[in-house]
Amino acid sequence: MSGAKGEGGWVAWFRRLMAFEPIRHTRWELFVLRLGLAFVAWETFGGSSDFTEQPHPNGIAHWVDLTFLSDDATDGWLRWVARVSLVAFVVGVPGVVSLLVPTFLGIGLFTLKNSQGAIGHSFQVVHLCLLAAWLAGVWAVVFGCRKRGLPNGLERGSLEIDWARQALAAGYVVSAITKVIESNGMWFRDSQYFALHLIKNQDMKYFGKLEAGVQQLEWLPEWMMQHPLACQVFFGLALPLELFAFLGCRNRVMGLVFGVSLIAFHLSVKQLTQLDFVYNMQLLMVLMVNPLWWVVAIGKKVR
Amino acid sequence: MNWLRHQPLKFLWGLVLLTAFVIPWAQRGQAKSGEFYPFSNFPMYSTFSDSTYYVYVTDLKDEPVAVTFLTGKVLSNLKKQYDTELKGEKRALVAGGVKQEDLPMEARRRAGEVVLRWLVPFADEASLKALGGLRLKQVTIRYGAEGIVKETLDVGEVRVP
Repeated sequence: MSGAKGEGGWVAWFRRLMAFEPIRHTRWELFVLRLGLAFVAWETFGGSSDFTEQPHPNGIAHWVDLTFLSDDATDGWLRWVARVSLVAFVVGVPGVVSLLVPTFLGIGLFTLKNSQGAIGHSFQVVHLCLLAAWLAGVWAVVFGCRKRGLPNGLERGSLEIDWARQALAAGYVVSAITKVIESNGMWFRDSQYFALHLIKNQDMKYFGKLEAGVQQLEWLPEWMMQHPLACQVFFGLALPLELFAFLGCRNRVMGLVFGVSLIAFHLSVKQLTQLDFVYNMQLLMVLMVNPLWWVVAIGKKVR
Repeated sequence: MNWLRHQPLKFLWGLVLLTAFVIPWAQRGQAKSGEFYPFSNFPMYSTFSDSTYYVYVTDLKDEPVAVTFLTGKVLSNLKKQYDTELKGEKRALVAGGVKQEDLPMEARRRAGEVVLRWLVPFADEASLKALGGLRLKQVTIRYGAEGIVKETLDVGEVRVP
């Protein structure tokens, strides 16, 4: 009897945990989240573009010559407009206006960079989240004109953050699906060969700057090849974590669970491979973990 | 359809559909079919095999050059560019059904020299002149009966006047 009751309790607890609950943000929380998103995006407007050709067009570069963005005069003032726009976004100017320049300038600059023959993924997630927030702003205007309520009963500001969060989670889900498709389902079996990539990354890091100290954990690749099961267990955890990242958008608790887990995953990968997904981690901290809200919520409970 | 209307994360699933399936299908036949900035199907580390490779840059005496300090570019980007060029060479030889790892040395050198010629304009002029030129090395890492082994090949050279 008590066993059945206990089982029922677990099922009810699991259902509560997984229940979808639209995440509504108060004004102060929106300010903090917008500040976080703008802080991450700000990083993408540093430096200058020096690409005068696009030999391997990517994205919109198939149809648009983006090399004008490497012109010092154009590049310089557009970056300033983007920075001012981000400040406007933080203080509450609707995303449809304030995110227009940062989103499309960022996409343009990095499309040009990715049209050189090498695809980089560091800033991709930032511009995807900005695009999602901007699209939410457009959606809010369209729904406003048609006098209809926004999806999941959210306000405009919360919807912008919600779509940015969904875009962030979608990236992880897609990454997991690609692993399964590209490896013909053999990703677990072959993951022991990840050891060879450790050597590759360490050597490239060393040869890039010729700085001693990079080639740490030299024993690890050989050990991994001799203990394939250990590799498979470690990477076995990563795949479902990515595949089920969408659950992090269902409610605040799941956001916290998946946000913290994915940050821990990125940190462990960084230790192993020297690959730093700093913008992913920052966005996870802002959009999923949202620590300030938890501090305030726990503070209120304690009082 | 009613089920779809009640899905709370429609935007997320739309993005998943677009980036994991629609874009790779629409760009099939291209070297990086899943890439359409800012959309990506994130193919890195999606497959593993018993060999991989990287590249690095040396001077004409085969002494390694800190390419990041010389040009501001990172080796991972050079490796990706070299890989893109190799894929182009492979497509050109597709009638012979050649695997990328079995491409002939001439094809590798053509690919390596494209990468070095792209790199040269970003280099500090005085430092590059002092070096006299650059070489690209490909290091293949394999796992076999004798454990992990590395093999280095010269895959390109540019000289500066």
